[in-house]
Amino acid sequence: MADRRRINGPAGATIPPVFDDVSTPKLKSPKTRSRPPNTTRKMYLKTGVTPSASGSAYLEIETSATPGVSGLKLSCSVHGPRSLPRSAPFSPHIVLSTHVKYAPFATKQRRGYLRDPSERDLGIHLEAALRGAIIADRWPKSGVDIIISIVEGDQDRETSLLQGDEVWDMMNALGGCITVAAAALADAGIDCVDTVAGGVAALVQDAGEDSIPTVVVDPIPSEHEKILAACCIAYLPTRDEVTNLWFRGDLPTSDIDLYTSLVEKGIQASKNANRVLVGCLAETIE
Amino acid sequence: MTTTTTTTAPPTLAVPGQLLGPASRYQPGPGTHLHNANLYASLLGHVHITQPAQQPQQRQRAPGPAKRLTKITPAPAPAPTPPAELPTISVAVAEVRSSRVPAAGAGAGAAVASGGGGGERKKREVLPEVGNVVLCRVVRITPRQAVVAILVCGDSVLEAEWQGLIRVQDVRATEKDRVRIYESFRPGDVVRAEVISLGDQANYYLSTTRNELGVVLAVSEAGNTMQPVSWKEFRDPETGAMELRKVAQPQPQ
Amino acid sequence: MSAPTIKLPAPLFARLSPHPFLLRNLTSAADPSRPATRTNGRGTQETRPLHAKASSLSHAHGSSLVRLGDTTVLCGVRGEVLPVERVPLFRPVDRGGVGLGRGELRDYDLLVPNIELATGSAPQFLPGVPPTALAQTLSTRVYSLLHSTGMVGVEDLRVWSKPAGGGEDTEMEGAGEGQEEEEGVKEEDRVVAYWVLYIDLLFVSFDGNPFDAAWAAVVAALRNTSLPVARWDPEREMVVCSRTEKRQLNVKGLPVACTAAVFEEKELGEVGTGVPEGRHWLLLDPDRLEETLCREAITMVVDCSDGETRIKSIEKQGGTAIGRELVRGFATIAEKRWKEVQGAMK
Repeated sequence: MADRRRINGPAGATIPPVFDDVSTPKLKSPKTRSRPPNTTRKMYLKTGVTPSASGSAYLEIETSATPGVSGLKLSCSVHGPRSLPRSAPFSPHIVLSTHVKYAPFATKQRRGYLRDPSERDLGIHLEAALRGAIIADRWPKSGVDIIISIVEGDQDRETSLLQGDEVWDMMNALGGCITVAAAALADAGIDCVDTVAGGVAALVQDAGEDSIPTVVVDPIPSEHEKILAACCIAYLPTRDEVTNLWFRGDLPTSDIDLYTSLVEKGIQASKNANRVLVGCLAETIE
Repeated sequence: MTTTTTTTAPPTLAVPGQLLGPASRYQPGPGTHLHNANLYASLLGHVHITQPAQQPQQRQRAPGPAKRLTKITPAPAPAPTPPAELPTISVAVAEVRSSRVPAAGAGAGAAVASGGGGGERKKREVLPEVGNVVLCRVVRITPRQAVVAILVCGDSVLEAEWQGLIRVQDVRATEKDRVRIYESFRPGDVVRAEVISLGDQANYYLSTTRNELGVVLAVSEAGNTMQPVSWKEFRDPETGAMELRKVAQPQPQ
Repeated sequence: MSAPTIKLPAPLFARLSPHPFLLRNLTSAADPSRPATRTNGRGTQETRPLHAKASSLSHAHGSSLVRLGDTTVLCGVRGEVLPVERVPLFRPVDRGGVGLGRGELRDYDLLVPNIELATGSAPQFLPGVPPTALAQTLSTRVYSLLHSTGMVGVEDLRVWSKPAGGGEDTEMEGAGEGQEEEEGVKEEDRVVAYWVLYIDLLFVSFDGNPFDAAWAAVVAALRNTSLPVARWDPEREMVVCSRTEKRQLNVKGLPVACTAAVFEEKELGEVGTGVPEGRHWLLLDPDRLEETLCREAITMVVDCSDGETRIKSIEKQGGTAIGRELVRGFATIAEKRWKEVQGAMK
């Protein structure tokens, strides 16, 4: 059924451009990581982009060296503390509501206007990550809305859609969402025990099927031949606490060390993000 | 962070989670929290250290004639501080940043100091608390209560609108049974009131029993801003019509 | 006024009674010779500078970021292919085909602008709800202005069955319903598909005057749009695009929107059906506070790119203050605005 509240365009469905790969020489250089395995990409964080909101922040993760690979661009606004809707029951603490949405032009595939399950999923993980950082009982009977627009997803334009990279892209997106939301919350003046930041680590197989997998931080799916597993971690550095851990992939239970090293690398990535976050916040108040 | 900074001074700027000092040296103030016997910042902002006052600070009350005790109240807590008085450490956002003051001066005889606006950095949002004096606008009235939107709490303008209720028994201190809401408030009036309870899930309960509380700004039925003439009447300067209100006693400036 | 009145600091006053606050600011200039100032420190005819940045998004075919004071809009243009078989009531066009022109653009709905306000851009625009009336109105206004200005020509959006070297038998059904397939051999000059431009606008921050900002973003993004060169692949029976070749979209003219709100001395609620009494001020480029206090607004779209000022559209809502003289005078104001915006678009 057509959405009468929007301009819907032609009645017939349109097709995203199909590229003629036959005539062009193979563009894809062998997949190589442009950074050492322990290095995250450069990050740019700024608060106060939405002056009409209580707090806001903008995060951009550097475009990697490979041309055509876009970096992540996120814009976050925080509204609140505000009164809860009249229908809401009494709450002795602040009620957190998170909303993550890709812009229609954020990814290779044009996104719809309604949130899809993956976006809802991101929202839920983000809420879990932030709930552990906020001192919720300082604000009784109130709510706060955290809204993130993913202006540009972390996706490779060149790779075809069939690779199933979406899952790993979501990890990177969540890591960015957590960091940008923490900056916006601090800008809004909502009490937090610590600055929470997100970090991603992955187990990748770079040289063929039989090679030994390695753990890298801040993975870009297009830079690796195959990603076996990845985890996104929300970590509080001063408290040394993990508020949210999201693991996806395929890891044998026999090798518990692999799992721990994945988590440790995730924490390391999160610490890197935290340094940027703290630096940005310090700049804000100066 | 294992550095046990017992001797170093606290930082001047703090981000959430930053160590401010041990709890044995400071009292936690706004924007801080206590964890493992250490004080940490919970907000982004400047660190302020307030030395304890000589006598325990009481909640700031507007000066007014001491009232007869009409109800039993718990004695003011004798300074919730530990015996050895510690300075209070707090974190707060710097208030005004790059404020652009427009040229308009205060109008002659105007009730306002105009100016401000522009790129003023908003203060951190506060919540109304019991005992705060707030300014609110009457949204609707019923015979039992007036529903108001709280706009200003203390000195700070609230970003969000919080709903409040002034029940008929909280309008004035005397002759409570003779109070009529429609003779006290009209929708659109700006009322100064005190928060008496956090109320139910949606509303704060407010009271205007004190003399200096009540309607401060009212517009007549003809649409003119009225002037208070007595404790229960406003007058329209153009039409001369009188309207009943619970008038706030003008405060000496 | 002799009666004791309360004194309020400015932010309190603004919150409690915004209308008198703005009124006082406009009237209380210390000496009458000085022009009136608004609450935001601007003069009545003073606009906020507009900043436009093109091409910041890599997944869109064209994009722009426009900043108008505290209003920030992001616009992404993305082309998708609409094969003619999917167009109901398709009218075939041939290479020299004239006369259909703008009709195709509108009839086949090739331009799809949508405005998203619910990004937390202001406290009243929170997500999770259907588009507000304002968002719907803005989308429709952009839509109709796109068509009425004729900025985008349909020629740029047609995809032809390229003259393939062998002239092989391209049997495409549906398209011409046999009209064109008389012989089926020499018929390279057919439109096989159209590009549909999805123009999505995202408000990052909202502080009044959304239409001017949105329209500037649309214009900047379209000027920045390059679509990949597309051709018909008879073997795969589909339209394929080149990875390397791109063609810049031809955008005709530079229409610029200029909005002003009318602030009346009497407060909104009290002005009945009668004639407006008291003074009024024309506030150019209104901000969020001013928009809520004004019920009358005028938007004029002008284009001076060919030397002469041409009015592309005038829209006026509500109120009765704007008369003939004001509209005429407003053209000069809009012209001045055009120059400013044109400078920013470079």
